[in-house]
Amino acid sequence: MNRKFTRREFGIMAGAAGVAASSLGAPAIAQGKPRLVVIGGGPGGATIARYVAKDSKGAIDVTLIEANAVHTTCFFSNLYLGGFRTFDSITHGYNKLASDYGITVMKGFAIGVDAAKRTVSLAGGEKVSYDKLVVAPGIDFMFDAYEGYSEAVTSTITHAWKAGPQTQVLKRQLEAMDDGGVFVIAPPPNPFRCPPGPYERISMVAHYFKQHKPKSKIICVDAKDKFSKQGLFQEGWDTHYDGMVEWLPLKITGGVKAVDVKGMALHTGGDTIKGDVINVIPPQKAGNIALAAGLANESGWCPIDPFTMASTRVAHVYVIGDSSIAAQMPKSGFSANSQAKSCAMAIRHALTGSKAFDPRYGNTCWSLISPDNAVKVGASYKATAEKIAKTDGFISKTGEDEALRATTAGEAFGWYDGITADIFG
Amino acid sequence: MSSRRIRTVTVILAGLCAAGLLSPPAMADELYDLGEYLSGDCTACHQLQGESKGIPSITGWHVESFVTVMQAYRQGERNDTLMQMVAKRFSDEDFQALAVFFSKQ
Repeated sequence: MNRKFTRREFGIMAGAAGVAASSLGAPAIAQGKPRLVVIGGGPGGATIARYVAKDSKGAIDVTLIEANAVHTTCFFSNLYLGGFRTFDSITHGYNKLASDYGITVMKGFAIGVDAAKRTVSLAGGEKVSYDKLVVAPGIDFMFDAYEGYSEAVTSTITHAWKAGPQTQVLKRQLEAMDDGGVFVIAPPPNPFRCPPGPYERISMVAHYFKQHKPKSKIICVDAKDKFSKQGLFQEGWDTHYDGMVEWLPLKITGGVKAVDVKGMALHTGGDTIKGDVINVIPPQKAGNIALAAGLANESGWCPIDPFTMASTRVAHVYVIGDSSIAAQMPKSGFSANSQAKSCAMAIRHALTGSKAFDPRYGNTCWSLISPDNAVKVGASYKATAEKIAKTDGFISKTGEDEALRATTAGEAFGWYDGITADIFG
Repeated sequence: MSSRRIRTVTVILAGLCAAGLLSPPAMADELYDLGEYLSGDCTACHQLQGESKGIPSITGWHVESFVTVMQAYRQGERNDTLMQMVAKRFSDEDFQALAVFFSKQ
């Protein structure tokens, strides 16, 4: 859908969706159906829209509000930088959600929520009413975190942490860089989207440099003293990209203090680190709509009921994915997909009285270090009164043989196909 | 639903079936519904369309084979740390429910 709808038109659309859904065995009368509205068409939002529509068999009217016509996944966007995937292969449309599941996909940008009237306001002035609302906007950035840094700067010093045009800009910059150049990357402090992501990015850029620009260097100015899968990544950099990667922990540099876009440099507590290509992944917070709706607490993230993902601050609203405080679950596409399924069941139970099972939460993250060499980490979680708590977990081991790492890499590619089918239909 | 509750439900359903008060298909539906819900743990990786590149297909298996393989993962007799962890999330009744669900995909 490429145009905005009036409220009247939207009502008609919702009716049409009901007719489409009736072919799945739903009641023939669309009027009076409970309405679920989902803000955000990423791994959390698209999954919950699909699961509620699929499992309610047309009994719940589902509307997905998304600002973009397509979604480029953050996961595997590093593999695009490394030359392992095309941009098109990590970009997905919403056609199946509309055609196969009767979901009304509205192209629009949500700017506010009226909790009393149960309506979502869109940038174009439209209002969309809901019985239950899921807010799944992912992350937004703290553009005021560093002196000299702003959203305007990102056309030159990318974040590339929301996949899409930013990722394409970064790839073009790397391709335009001379052999012998320096790529500087500044990962954010915790918590942030995809904890192993910056380090997989380093691996993928190192792979590209090794193939095409072997005299080049990578400097990582980290905001932390340790990071996800650290031993595995550092072993991989030593093995595959000897001498190319220099990781500087917080305790050495003091972290980024200022960004100099004209001089193409980062200023730390005591040093100036110049780069030919610079990638600053800024500190993060819940998506702006979650903050505007009053869903976040003083941390900038949204507290939830561990059993249902319902907001503890606003009634009839649920928060899933990166914006939520899911305690020990990392902010990942896999986590968002997992939370969406448990939340979908809770919402169906609330709206139609369908059977409620115990919530289930899990996560697995694969990271590619070099061709045919991937590592993985995963965990199981359960809801407790206090939080979503880790109950079990595993991680790849250093020193694993090449065959196992190659199998793990194959799994990563298979997983991508599986989870994107689970998200987008 | 907790494992204990599922066991209780299973026992009750079996009792009702034995007493002729509930047909076996109703019990099968119950298992299928449970399996469908639990399958969310699997479909983040395994595809319902049966694709097997990188991640093995788990659709269309015999129920007994599915349960046996999952038990082997849970007991550490099959080598995959990820699947060993996933298998530990489930009871035998859960395996049975998942097996029924995926056998029909």
